[in-house]
Amino acid sequence: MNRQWVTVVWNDPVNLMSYVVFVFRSYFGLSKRRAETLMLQVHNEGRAVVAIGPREEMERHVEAMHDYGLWASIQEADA
Amino acid sequence: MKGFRVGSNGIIVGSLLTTEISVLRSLVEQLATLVDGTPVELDSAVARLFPDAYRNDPVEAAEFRRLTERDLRDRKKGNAETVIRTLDSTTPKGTAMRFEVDRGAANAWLRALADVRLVLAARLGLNHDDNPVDSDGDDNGARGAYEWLAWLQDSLVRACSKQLP
Repeated sequence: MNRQWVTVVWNDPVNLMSYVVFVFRSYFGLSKRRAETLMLQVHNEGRAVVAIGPREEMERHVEAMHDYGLWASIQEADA
Repeated sequence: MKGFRVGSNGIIVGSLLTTEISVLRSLVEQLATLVDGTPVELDSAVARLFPDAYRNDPVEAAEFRRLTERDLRDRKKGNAETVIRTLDSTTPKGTAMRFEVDRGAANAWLRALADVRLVLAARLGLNHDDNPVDSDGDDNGARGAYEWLAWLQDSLVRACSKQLP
């Protein structure tokens, strides 16, 4: 089985909570409730996994997050 | 100081004072210059705009940067230029200046406002939650602009959120 990768969004004190929710809704197509849950996870825990899948797809997500000004990175999913 | 709202025809309408427009224009011009040419290694604000995609792997991080950074810089510069074009085509209404942003322009505006705030935050040393700013310092102007931009971006986010499915 192909290895899985994850897109991680990290907390930063600059981006507005409303903006992070908007990005999760508009880019990932998440519901308002799911986007708010993820945003709060980023805020409270310092990071959240926002996507999981093939490496190239996760790299596209990370680039898109940087385009929005969010602080994101890619790493291998925990085995 | 009205910010953004969704107009009756569904188009997002902005309303700012001429002084606000001039502050914003200057900040966005600085952003355009910064993303166009300043290397990541030379400026912590630029480093924040183009962070490492692989946090624990410098080789992969460099390769990702090689493949994506130029394009990302062009897009960020394009966003800044879109904002400047909007600000140069405002019309007076009452004591304020009025302008419209279509969906494409709104997307550019959202990103450019986020980027300008990231740059200001880096200049003000606001990159960490545990790093309060001395409000009596020389940075009062920048701090005021930073907080005003938060209000402005939030007002645009609210208008744009109304148009999400």
